[in-house]
Amino acid sequence: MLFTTLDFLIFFVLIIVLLFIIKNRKFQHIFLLIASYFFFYYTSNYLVILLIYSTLMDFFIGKQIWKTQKIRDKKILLVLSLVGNLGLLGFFKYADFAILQFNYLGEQFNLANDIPFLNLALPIGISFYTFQTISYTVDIYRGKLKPSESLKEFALFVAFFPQLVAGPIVRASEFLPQLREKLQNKKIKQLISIDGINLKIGITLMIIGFFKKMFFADNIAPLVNDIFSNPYGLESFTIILGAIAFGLQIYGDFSGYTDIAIGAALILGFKLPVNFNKPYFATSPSDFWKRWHISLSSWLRDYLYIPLGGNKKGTKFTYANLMIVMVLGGLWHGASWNFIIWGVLHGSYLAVHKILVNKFPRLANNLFFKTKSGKIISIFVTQYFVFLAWIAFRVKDTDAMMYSLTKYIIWDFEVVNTIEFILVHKLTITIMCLFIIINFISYKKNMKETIANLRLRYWILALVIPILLILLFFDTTPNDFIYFQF
Amino acid sequence: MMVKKIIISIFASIIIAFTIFLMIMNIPEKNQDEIIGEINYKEIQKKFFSKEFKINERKIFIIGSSYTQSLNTTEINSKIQKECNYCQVYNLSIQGDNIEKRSQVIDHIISAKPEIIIYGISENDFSNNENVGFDNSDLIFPDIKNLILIKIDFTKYVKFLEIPASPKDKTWNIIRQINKENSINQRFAPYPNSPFLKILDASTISISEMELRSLASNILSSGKINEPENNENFQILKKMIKKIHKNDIKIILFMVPIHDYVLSAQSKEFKKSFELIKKELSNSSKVDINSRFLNYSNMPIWHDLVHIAVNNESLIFSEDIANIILKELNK
Repeated sequence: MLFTTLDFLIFFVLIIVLLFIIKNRKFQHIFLLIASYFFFYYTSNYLVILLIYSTLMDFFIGKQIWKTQKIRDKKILLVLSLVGNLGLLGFFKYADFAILQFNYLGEQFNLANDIPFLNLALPIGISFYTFQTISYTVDIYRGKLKPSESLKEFALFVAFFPQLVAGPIVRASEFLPQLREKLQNKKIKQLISIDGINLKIGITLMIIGFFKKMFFADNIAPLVNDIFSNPYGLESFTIILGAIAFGLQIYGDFSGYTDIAIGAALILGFKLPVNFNKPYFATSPSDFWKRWHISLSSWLRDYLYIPLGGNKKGTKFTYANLMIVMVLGGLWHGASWNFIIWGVLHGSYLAVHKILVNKFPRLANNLFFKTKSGKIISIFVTQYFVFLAWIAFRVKDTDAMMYSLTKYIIWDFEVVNTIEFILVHKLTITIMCLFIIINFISYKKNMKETIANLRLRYWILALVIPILLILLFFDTTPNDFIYFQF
Repeated sequence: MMVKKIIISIFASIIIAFTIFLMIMNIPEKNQDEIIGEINYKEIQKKFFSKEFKINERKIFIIGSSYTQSLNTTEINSKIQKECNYCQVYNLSIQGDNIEKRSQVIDHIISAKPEIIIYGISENDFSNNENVGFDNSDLIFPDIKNLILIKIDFTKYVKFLEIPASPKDKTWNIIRQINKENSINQRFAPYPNSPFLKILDASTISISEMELRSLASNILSSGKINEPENNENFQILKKMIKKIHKNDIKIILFMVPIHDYVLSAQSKEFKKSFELIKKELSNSSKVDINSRFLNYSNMPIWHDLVHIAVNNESLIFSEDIANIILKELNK
């Protein structure tokens, strides 16, 4: 179910009303679980079986890992869970990609091995919920987490509808204690009780999320499509404009989704982790990954980078580990070479930045970079590379991508077409500028908090503006959230 | 108490925003139809057909909607005139055209005495588009989404409130109107002999496979095709063909290109109903429908899933139509 459809709004209001009527916390728990499965079933139909499979498998394996004393048996069980989850993910997401590569290789060696594609439907949210369940079993294996005692509790953690299809990737250690407290603390009478403060902040977050997605991202998208659907022959500055537009579009799209998810969860009384922290103000590649899709980057750090050895096995291994993590992070986004290239680019940024910091500590610690102008320069340099990588993320066709990347790096200083593009899309560019200004203001002042803390009469007015703009720019065929495909 | 106040505030915000929204949506705007010549549909056509054509000219008229707007008359004429000196092809496509509208001007078309009329049609010309359901033939469990959408037809309420089909387009148009802007989406005649075509700059762009895929994810089913005897458009087309034949004009029907993604989303029932229409048309009017050009889907010639881009890469469509015309001329 798309958050930006009327279906979701009706669904969400109905859930709130029914939870309000059902006072018993056990019934509320079951109802919320059924509602979450319905949410998934509504658009994914039979693929809900995969969600149930993943839930059942990790619930029972998690319990067994906890019970088993022998390290060897624990390891076997963990491998079983990893194979089950990653096998599911690999089969549905990467099978056709692997077949394509295999057929291509066969062609190179003149082998008649044209394997037919499986053409499987990609289950929505599979990359997110499999990562959540993996973190659950790994945390139990590491002794950091006690397994969930009831299947209902664990099932709700996996299927909780606000974050089910596009994150944030919630850790069991963050979610289960919240649920347990509501279920076990006798002072709390209901699982879901609508609290005034949470409601106000939640609604504010949801409306800001809708605003980012439906007003900004969806209105910037046509410019991006115009530029990158066929970039051949376009000037450097047009490509740069396209890269900036796509960077803003994907940020508005994904952080908008996250705001809606966090807001919806908060109204229901659950706190989800922050996923974005002003990523375009990052001053270095590693700083960027502390601000962009935080739940994924921290997952990759804790469950991939550190187990690979992190930075404990010497500099060469550190660089190799960074590259492996980022390439796999890229591949996580989709079975396509452009995502791998995007991962390679970010892996190189992180490695080169680490080399520079290690080799030239004086430069890295230079006081100039602590000053305002030093920070501004760092932000511009970092974002230049971040937006370069966005081209690889957006342009799937390798030749078109190479053309765009070349134009982005080697400027031709032609402006004729760019001016034409700007004139044709000046309203879209106005929207982009507005988005940049709002982001700049929020860098100084937390706008979400400011709006949520307004007195009710001002709060009403503050909400009217985004709601009105959403309505005015509403499209009858809403664009999917970009991250839904991952 | 606090919760109640917040809920009232949310409703207040929504009501205020919605009221302003409805007010803006009712601002009269310059009719976009005027640009494409639809407001004076009959008048504009009457004027064109009553003009004096060259005496020895053998006129061939292509008629249809935006689906046929990419048929390049320069390309078709250069191919045909190699074999037929005096032949002159006109692309008389009009955006938003349909069988019913075309029947209103068929007398004007006939009065210009063309030798051949070539008409691009699609399944949608015979469909009633009555629901907005998704194709569910591949689903294992009941498709709740489809069931709900059929039960609650949101379009009813949208029509009642007089909200335009795309508020976004309406808003953009109002902003452009305020800016007195003409350059955005400027329309132009793509080639000679296409008097009713005013296409957008954007129509010249071929989109990528990824974008086609993304569009395909939003495909709605094509509604329902009634059986020939109850199909209003079928009956109108039949009458139109009868009239054309009566005036000794040849008519060729052909299926306009539609991407495989759309075709594969059509239900079996829909396809079967259309086959019935084709069969009946062939039996009753003695007109066969030229099949769809099947190899187009893999070519980078699409502007969207149902329109071929108006550019040089899509000339294959014009070449294929020229071949159909030549075949008819050589009969």
